[in-house]
Amino acid sequence: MATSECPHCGYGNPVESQFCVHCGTVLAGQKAPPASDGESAEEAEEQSGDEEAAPSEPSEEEEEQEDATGSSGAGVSGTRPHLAGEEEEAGEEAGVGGSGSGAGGPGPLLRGLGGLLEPADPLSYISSGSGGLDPTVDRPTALMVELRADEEERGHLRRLYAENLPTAVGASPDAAANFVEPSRSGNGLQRRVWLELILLLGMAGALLWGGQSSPGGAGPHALPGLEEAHWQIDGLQPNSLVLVNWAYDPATAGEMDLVAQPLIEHLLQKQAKLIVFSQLPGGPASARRVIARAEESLQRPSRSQITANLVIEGGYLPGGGASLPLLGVAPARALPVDPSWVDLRERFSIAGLGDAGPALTLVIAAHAEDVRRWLEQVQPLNGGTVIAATSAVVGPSVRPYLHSGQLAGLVSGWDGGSAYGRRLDRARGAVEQARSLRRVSGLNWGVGILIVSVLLGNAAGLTERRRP
Amino acid sequence: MFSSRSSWLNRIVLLVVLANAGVIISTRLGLPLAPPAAATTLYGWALVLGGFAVLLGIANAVRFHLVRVQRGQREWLLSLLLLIVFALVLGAGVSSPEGTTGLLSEWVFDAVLAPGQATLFALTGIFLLSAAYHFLRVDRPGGLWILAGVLLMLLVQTPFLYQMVPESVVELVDWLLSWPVMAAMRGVLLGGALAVLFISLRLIVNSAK
Amino acid sequence: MSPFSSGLPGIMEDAGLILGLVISLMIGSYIVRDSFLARLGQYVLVGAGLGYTAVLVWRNVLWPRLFAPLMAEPISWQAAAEMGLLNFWAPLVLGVLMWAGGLELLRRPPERLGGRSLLRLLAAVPAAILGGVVLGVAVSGAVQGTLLPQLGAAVAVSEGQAGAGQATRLVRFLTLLITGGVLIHLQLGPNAGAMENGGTSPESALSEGAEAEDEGRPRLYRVLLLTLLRVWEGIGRRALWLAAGIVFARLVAARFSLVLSRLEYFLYEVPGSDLWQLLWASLRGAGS
Repeated sequence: MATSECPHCGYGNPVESQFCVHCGTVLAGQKAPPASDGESAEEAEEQSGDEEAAPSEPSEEEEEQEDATGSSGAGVSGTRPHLAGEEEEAGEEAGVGGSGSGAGGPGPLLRGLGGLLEPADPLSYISSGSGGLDPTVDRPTALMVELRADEEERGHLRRLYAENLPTAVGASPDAAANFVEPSRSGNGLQRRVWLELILLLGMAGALLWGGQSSPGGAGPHALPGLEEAHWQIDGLQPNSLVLVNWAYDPATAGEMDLVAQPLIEHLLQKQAKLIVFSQLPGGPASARRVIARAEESLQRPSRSQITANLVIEGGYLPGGGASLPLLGVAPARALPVDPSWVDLRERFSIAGLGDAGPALTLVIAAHAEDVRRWLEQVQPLNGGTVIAATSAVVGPSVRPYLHSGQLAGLVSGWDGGSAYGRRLDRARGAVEQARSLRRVSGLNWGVGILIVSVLLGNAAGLTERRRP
Repeated sequence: MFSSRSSWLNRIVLLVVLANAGVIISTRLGLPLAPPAAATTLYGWALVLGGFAVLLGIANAVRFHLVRVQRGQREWLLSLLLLIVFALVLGAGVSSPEGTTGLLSEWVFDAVLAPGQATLFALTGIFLLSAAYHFLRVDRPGGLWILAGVLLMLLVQTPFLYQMVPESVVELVDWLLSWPVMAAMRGVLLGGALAVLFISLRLIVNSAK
Repeated sequence: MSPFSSGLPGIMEDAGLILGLVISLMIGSYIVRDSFLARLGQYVLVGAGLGYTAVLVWRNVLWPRLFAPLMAEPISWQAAAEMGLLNFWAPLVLGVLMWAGGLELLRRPPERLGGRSLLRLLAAVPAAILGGVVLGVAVSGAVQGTLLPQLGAAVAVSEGQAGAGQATRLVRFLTLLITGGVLIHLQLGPNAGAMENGGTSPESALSEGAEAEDEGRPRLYRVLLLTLLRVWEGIGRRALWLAAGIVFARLVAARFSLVLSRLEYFLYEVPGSDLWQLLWASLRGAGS
């Protein structure tokens, strides 16, 4: 069977594969290598076409582009990361005797994930102008030798991760290199599909029948930081200006709405004046919906009245981190929304931000990056109090900011939102309680299935290891 | 001649980059090299240029699919559908005086964007299970530590487990989150910030060469 | 459907519900396999997302911030000609240049650039300005928002000052130890792991020590320093593993919430809609 090599992990996939069976890299558009069993590349390409979309011959311009990118060495290493190590070694050998920046040129600016996976040595870059650890230039030290050994281990690990089922650490690297290509319906994939189906069925069953169980218990545990967030909002005076950075969109709304709504409800209870903006295109619309639901749960009069009195929509703010400092130094300039939408009174309120700054800033973020960006780009400029409502996964990452006092409070995950909601002074309806119970039940089942699958995975790993 | 012009252009670009970065850094760090208003103006420009850049990115994506349809390349039918949907949504938004807060745009958001994005991202939750099955193993490097962290946190955050575990375990997890894990994440944050500094420095030095 | 689109005729609401359900099912079918339907759903989603974003940028950014003030009264907004020039005309020129240059780049490159090389040169200016601002805010933000406060907090912890709370001296020391260990690990890699797995570290350390001795430096000092570094790095690495486990567990909570939310949509929101109830009632009526 003709196979095409994955440009990321090197795994041989069937030519018709759209994605790599192992690492998920998109293979569509990759040319199959010359087939050994007599199949021509054209035939392979024909096979890879979908029945609904007729593929055409590559045009002249495409060929030109392929030539332009594919002929250079840099292009090859750029598209084949799994070969990068070998190419770099070859490059180093070729560059022996050079000045470091000669044959190989300067090393890549960033090795590994954000420069963190692989250590960067900036001083050597400055001094030699080449990659951080160039054995041809720098005298090899013990640490460098270990680093190179570490590179090999990392390469080994990369290959292990590319396997159908991971081999135990310590097994021969050759075993990983010479593994037999599994079919698309191999054991690993079958197990994956079964696991996913069991998870879906388990959660669906829990949602259907879990709403009838008794509540029991004191609710989810409130992680450190929640108390402080509640205290900050509770201390707000009526009509305090609160800046809300809405850093999530519908993609993560399933979780984030549960975190955001209790805090918004609390802010509206305290009659704080919210100035909401987002750096995501889907952010403003998501904010409008959550605020409307919060108002509904507080039984406020009507949406139009709320919007006019308590919520100013600052809208969408592009430019990422580059434009964010404007909110710190000149918020009135950063938030001029559509003139037909906000009247002069509200614009005056925004202008008031420039004099005293917001009484509080609430960052509602699905990613740690958004909290970090605010604390780096805005807080040093306006020195305001910031609390964060984040996705569960973000909590541990931003906890140092809570500890250093840059964050005045932190609420994370559905459990944080639920624990916060219990502190609010309002009765919960039967529908809301049933929904909450269903979610708890669904989560219980999901985690139960996860724990069982981790145990099964470990058992499978041990079995693999004992197999001769 | 062309190469010398290109090198001249590179120098100009580098100079503009460095001048702007210098204005921002000096203003932020309180150095009296540039008036603070200059930095504010640059932030404002970045905001508007960000808007132009987003539109340019959209134009690029539209062009990509147009070319696909014109040449009948793979999945051209899907590209055609994408272009039709794009044109319809754009038309609905532009024709309404309220823009994205108009009824049609809100309808598109509720009918297409919200359910589509939510479903797409929910898939990652399902795939997480097979990731846990494959990689949460005691015989991996650090597997025992990772598993210990996973199980401790699951004990506290999962409702049915939380009701069973003794108070001491809950306090242990709170302590872990507040001290050792916080300290480790602080190390990561510091490492990231140092990486940003050194990469910026390297970028400037390499460009200057 | 949310209250924001409820002003439309009933048929549009029903159509929206069906469309949302169909797109969700198409995209969700990716679980089974990457099929034509899954890709169809994704393409529709991307097309709608691009259109929505284009409208948003125009209506929410460029029109109110740039074009509306310029068209209304070029210098009224900030009440100063100089400011109007800097805040409106300059970004407009830069934006137009960026657009012109970008569209030029999207075209097929000609054999001779001719007069268009000037356009490319000018178009590089807004890109350079944007790049400079990004570089400036990244560096100053990293220093002001992370490096200095976090270093300060780490030191304060060691001295029992701000942020230390109720922690004992031992805990404060452990915190500093772990932060330092993680930094060493990120910079130097897992040396202790190499030593444990029978790697080259001990030998290399000894040879390094021998070389140091040849150069007249004390060998013991070198070996002790490397051992200390390895132990310290090992502590940081283990703390990172523990943190990774905790982050994974939180990731489970986050992503399972998303799955549950989608399942609720299929199991409760859609069946609870008026259209569905009507369909269900008519089906039951036909059946009986």
